[in-house]
Amino acid sequence: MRYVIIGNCIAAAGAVEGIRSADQKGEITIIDGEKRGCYTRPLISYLLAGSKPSSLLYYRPEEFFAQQQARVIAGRAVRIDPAEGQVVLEDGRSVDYDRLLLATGASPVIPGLPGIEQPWVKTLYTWKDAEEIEALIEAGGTAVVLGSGLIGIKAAEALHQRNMKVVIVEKQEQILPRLLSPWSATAATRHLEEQGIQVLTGREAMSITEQHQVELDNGVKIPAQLVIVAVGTRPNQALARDAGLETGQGIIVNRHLQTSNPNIWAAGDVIETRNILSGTAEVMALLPLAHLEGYLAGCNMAGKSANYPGGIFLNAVHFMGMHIIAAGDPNSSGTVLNWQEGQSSLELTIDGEYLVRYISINIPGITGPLTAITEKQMKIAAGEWQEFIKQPSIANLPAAYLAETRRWEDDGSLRCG
Amino acid sequence: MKVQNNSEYCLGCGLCQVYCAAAHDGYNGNVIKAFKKGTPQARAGLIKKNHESWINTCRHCQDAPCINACITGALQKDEKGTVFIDSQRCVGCFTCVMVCPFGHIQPSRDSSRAIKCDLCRGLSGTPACVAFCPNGALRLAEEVDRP
Amino acid sequence: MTLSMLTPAFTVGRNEERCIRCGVCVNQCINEVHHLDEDGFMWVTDKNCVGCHRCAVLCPTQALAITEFPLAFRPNNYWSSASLREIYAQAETGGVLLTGMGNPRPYRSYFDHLLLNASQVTNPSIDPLREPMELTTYLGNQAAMLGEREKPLLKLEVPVMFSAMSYGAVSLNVQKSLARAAREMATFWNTGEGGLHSDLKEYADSTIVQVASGRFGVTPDYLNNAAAVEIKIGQGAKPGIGGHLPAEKVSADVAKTRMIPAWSDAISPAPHHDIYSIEDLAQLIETLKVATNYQKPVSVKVAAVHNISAIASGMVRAGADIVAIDGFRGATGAAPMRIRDNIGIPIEMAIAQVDQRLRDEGIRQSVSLVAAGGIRNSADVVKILALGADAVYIGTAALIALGCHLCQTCFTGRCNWGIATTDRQLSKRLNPEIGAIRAINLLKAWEHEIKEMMGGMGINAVDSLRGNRLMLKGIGLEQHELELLGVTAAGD
Repeated sequence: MRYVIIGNCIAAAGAVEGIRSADQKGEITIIDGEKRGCYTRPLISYLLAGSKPSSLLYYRPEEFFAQQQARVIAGRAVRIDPAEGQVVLEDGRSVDYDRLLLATGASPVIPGLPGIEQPWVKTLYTWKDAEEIEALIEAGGTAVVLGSGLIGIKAAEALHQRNMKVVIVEKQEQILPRLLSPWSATAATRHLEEQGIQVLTGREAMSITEQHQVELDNGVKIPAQLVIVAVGTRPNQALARDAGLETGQGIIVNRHLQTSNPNIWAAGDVIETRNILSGTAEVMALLPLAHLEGYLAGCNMAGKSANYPGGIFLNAVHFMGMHIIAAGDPNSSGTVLNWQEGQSSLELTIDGEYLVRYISINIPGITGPLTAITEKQMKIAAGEWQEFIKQPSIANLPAAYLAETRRWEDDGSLRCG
Repeated sequence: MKVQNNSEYCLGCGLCQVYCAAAHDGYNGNVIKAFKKGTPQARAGLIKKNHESWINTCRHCQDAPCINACITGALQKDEKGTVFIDSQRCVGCFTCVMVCPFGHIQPSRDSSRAIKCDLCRGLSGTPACVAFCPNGALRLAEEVDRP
Repeated sequence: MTLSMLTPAFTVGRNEERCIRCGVCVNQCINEVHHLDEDGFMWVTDKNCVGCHRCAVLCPTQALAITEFPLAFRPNNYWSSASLREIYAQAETGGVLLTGMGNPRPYRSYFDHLLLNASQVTNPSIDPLREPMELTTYLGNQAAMLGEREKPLLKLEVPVMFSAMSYGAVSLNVQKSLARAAREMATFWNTGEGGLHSDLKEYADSTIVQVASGRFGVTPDYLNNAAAVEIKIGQGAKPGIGGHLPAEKVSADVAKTRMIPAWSDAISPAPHHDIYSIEDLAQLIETLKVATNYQKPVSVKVAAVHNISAIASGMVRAGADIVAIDGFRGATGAAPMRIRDNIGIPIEMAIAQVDQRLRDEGIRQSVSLVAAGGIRNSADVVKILALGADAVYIGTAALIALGCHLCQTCFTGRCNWGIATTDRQLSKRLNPEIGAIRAINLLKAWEHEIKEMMGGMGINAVDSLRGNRLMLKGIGLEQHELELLGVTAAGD
């Protein structure tokens, strides 16, 4: 069996593990378009900040692929020929496959702003991006970050640590709009400002000038030695679309992560994933899901049937000593319970018997169970949450949750080893 | 393998925590040195609720969500099935903390990295909590049907 | 009264270079001796300390030392510090002084004045690791004549049984530990007068159930879930008085097992109100035999008192298959201190006297003698067997094996070792899996030592040791004491 994986990132590593869990012999080939090895994108901001050596960026060390007997070839795939079972690379080489996995990921969205093409306007998405930004860093200079999503915030932190003045410009009325509620965003904004980062919400950049200025919608011009564009990402679907695979916002896959072509699977940021809470298919570009999807796709490719139930939105981010973890449906509604003590806070959204969203700031320790409760849609009486929120701790979690975790162990649905 | 509670005989004394803390971070089990010279931290929390107590230890899940979620590859599984963190690689993002359904994985005291039970794999012999539980409330359960 | 003259009995020393503020001492002391505040400051309340060592044993850094409180009274050979303290206590409370466990006074221990023999040249000693050594002991009436129906017997693989300790006086986990150990070692444990908890019915074949003056928990089912039935007349720690389990130890579970209301005092009367004579005893013995279809030996337990040999003789004639005698060192969960410390006679004397009396009367074969009260080690066992006992009961030694530190405050129900308590949280502290192993280890160790001592004497069966007073010599004893024990002086 010849397995080919396009893309060498989280889902690819997961897929290698998944394939090898069922097939020790098959030939695995990974086509690494970025030619940088299997590294973790969220870590490039640490590289930029200077807090991690580049050797620690690798999600799986080089030996991993050797141990798993997976061949990595550097080269960009430009075309898939499903009829021939072939992937064609930009240098004209072709790779034959029996089973193909598309782990082509996503790319940053570049808004059509005047001046966006200036060489000092960058995205922070790849290792190469980080190296290019590195050359532009000027201690004491100003960096403008467009967008306050996870990438924007981490970019702002890194540049701040490199002694640049940082201004975040966010179109929405709050920062981290996909992660935080207005209430929790206020605390996060305050924290950024206290650390010396300027945050402008409800503002949009209108143009970037050659004179190193960013002009906002209110006419204010911010001088900028460096602009980071971080206004979102979108799936790299071109290969799939050209190969005639069914696509929507992302590549469409079934429960086995199989595309409309039975010999082609897809995983990671490029696919539409079932959102467990809403039941709808959405692009959920989340690292934990990417690995799981890759793993399960690998299992299925190797003939070990594995269902992917989908996932929920969840994210953990920390910047300048503040730890934010949030999960659940950002568009949820329901009763909101709040707890706050000093710099720590917790916000729960309860819809009937279900926890549909939580946002925690500086209280990471209790989030694991909250994620499980949200994701597994455990039924818990509202009164139990009222008790819990008085003093959130593992011991104070609802009895129904504790009973449920014991059940997992007793009935063997959770196995160790 | 995992450490299993028998909360019927757990006294909530906390000795598991003391010995766990001293067994990690290079203290080599020297309790006095660990607590007098350093800031040791136990790898598993002791939970007390309604006169019951137990340690919220790692189940070393076969399909460990923490390993799926780890963004750096710091969370790994060794050949015995023990889930452990390579603390050199951990950046303290706490994605693992977020996805551990038991709330076992916790931030280190300075929030710089995540810590968890590693069954004292750095030391030889029985995990410290099991070895030093004064009432036999903890035991090392042998692995179950590993593939 | 505002000023208490009772100064602490113990003082807790904390080595600050070792204390790591882990708080284990704080959470383990039910008497609230240790305190740790939010600032990490620790202090102790010495007067609460009973000297049970729970904190010191669990302390992970051995930072604690418990010593006698160094407050000396002017030396006085007559008015000891204990005398003064007891008076202070009574002057403050106006009450009877209560205590627990056995008589601690410095009365002569005859065990410590008896020496064993060993073989040299004229007969060979035996190595128990190389040659068979028989400890199997049968208890009961072995005097069946040819043609008579054989009487039921108890078979012990080691001549050591666990004394009667009721659920209520001790925790259920103590009973579970001892029951498991008894089954494993093929000996017996005794329910005491507290009924048989349903969790323990599986150990029926290793169980002796007790019928005492309160008749707690006694039903046909109870009597038949046992290998033998024991009528308890008296107890070495408190001869002549009954039992009193304070209401606070009568938890719902204890109450159910005893078949009495929960949280009410459980009072066993001083006498059995249906036994005022040997003839009355005979009736109860017969009743119990009928109730158990003559399938189980009936034991009668009495405290060792002044005219014990005549009493024992009467008990045998009343039909007792086993006579258990509890010496004045026998322990208790609660007794008035004056009773415990001043009543009864030593078990060594009682066994020597009773064995001789029954032999003289030709009825020794009709009964087995069980010695209880103050058996501390295997040498005590060998000596008491040589004085005439068939087997022993151990209570204090068994509890020490489980963790008892003889702090003598069992009557408070606040036992830090989870032994003399019915509190659910405290009871947890004795894991019966561990308790059973410790009790088994103790019996195995004693068994081995007994075999070593027997082998040294050239004896390969316990039957040849029983009543074999030639194996004993007295040391430092008066002539009349030697005569009462039926032994000669060392060197004689």
